[in-house]
Amino acid sequence: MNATDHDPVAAFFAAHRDQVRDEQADDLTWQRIVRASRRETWARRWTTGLGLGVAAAAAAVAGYAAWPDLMGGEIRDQAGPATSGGTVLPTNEESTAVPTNVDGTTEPSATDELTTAAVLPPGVTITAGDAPDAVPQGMMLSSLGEATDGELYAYGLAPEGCGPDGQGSQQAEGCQLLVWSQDDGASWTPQAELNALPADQVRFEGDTGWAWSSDAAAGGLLARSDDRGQTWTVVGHPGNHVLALELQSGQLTAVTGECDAATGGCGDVQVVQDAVDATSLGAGTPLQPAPGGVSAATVSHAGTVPFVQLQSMTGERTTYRLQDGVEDLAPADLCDNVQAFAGAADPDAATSAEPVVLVCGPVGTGQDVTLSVHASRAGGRVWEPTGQVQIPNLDGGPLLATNDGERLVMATGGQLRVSDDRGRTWRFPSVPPRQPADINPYTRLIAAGNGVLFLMGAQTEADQGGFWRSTDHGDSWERVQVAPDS
Amino acid sequence: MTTRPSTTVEVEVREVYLAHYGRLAGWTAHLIGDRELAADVADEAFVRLLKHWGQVDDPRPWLYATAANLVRDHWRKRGREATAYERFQGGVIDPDVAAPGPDLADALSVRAAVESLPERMRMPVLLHYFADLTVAQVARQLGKSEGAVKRDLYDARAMLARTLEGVR
Repeated sequence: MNATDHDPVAAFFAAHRDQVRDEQADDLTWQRIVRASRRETWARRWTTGLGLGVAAAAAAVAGYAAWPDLMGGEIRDQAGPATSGGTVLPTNEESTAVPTNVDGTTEPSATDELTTAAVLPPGVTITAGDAPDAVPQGMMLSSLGEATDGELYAYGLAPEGCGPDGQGSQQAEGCQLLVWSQDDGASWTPQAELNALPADQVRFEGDTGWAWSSDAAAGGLLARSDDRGQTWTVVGHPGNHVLALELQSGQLTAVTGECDAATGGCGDVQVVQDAVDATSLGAGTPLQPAPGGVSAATVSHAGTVPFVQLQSMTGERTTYRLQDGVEDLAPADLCDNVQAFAGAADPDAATSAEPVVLVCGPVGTGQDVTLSVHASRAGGRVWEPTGQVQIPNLDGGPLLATNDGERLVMATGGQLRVSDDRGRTWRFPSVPPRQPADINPYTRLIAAGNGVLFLMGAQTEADQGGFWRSTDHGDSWERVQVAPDS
Repeated sequence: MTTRPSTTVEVEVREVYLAHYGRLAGWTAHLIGDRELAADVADEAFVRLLKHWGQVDDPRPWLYATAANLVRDHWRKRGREATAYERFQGGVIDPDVAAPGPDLADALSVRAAVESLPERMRMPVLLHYFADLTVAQVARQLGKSEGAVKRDLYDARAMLARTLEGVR
């Protein structure tokens, strides 16, 4: 006999509890939560760090209702529930009231929570703050790359240890840091503290860097630095958001759009090509609008020829070659669903080839699906099917990279596969970066030339504060630790 | 007040996520009748948990209280059109959510039962009976004394017993 036998009310609710079906607690959902949390933290710190006053905060009230993810949809477009620090208001309180906790503190008001970013006008200069002496423990990377041979940079959020002596005023909130390695990743030194720069992505070529935010809600900032990140100048660009940007051989290729922060969908997508040291980005070349708008874009190169891949809100990917105009690389009769594209970062100059690889599919709907691989030595103007690869059936397309067009690396979720024959056959790396079954997804795969590849994970426990590097086209991987292990 | 490093927080909250997210999202789906919306609510509860982690002693009751508050706001926003004798899950039946058992087919939804009560009793009932929190946990989450929660539950029990009797 249990308590519900004599209590019809308890029995009623117990019967309903029994009807509850657990949902999945998967890693993608966790990543979504962490991103939302970091974005909120970042936006809060940013508005504070910029010294935006009450007026700016009030001006952003209008955007509050439309802010994405955290407050979107049916539930999120109101002032928020009366919860804080373990305290929930009595139910006769309206949720628009400022709640009071048992300790007498108040829940932040709506303006405290504002996350809609102000737009910094072109020409504004942002100076880096004092960087700590050493890379703080637990730094989470959001960008990395190679500025010159042997010189690597990384950018990310350090949760503590900020300020010039690691004890600065930002200690509690953390700081956005640019760190540099002069010895191919063996040691790292903080270069600039960039809390005033609302950006989570940077790219450097030599001393010149570009920074932007991957979050459409963060104000569409684009900024350039000519001194390795010490000072940044805001640069105007088409649209209200930078979807992607890469630097190659003195040229900048950026994809911009008019993006809806609430939905993440972008229209009026343009590709802009200019010199790396451009002071402003003028109107670019319009790209074909995707059904429902564009949700993401990537820029890659085969040698010096840029390619752009757009992903629509419904998941379709379109790949363009940017030479002598804009050319759609994958007509429907070749590939009805592009999954990934890669240009050879370091093609054989003697042959004038422009190797590129396209992965299409998937075929099948089970636990594993099959993708078809197509390769071209003519920059995608002529294709040949080279093989197939079976991968786990995961949301989102795989990451693909190649240095020479022959040896390919594909990241799917937390797994890597390599091919030595343009995609005809596939195998796991001889020395994988981590356990093949790891569920934490890889987020960035970069071919840096000369057989070197960089691989970055989602900065969870397995990948925090560092990345993976291969110097043999992806066959073996070593850990490069930027921040000391937590 | 010190703030712990967010990475440490994320590692710790991830443990809570793995332990409680699935149940919390399912629990919310049962109340709202929309799995996507319920996932949004559960996500938001965890985003807030990450934000308030340093002040949360016991995450499970805190998460359910937060989710319940969001659900309550949702119900309030949707109006009170279905306050009594509403069919399962607010009249919105998602076939992917567990179907009602035979003994519940003609009974009240949780929402209808809770919303048939005076305001002061709703959260205690939702958290104690449906989220299975102890009286002490409910009291702490609501900032009430245990005695006040017991009184709310006593009164609610009497009212709901009559309501349940009426629909049999």
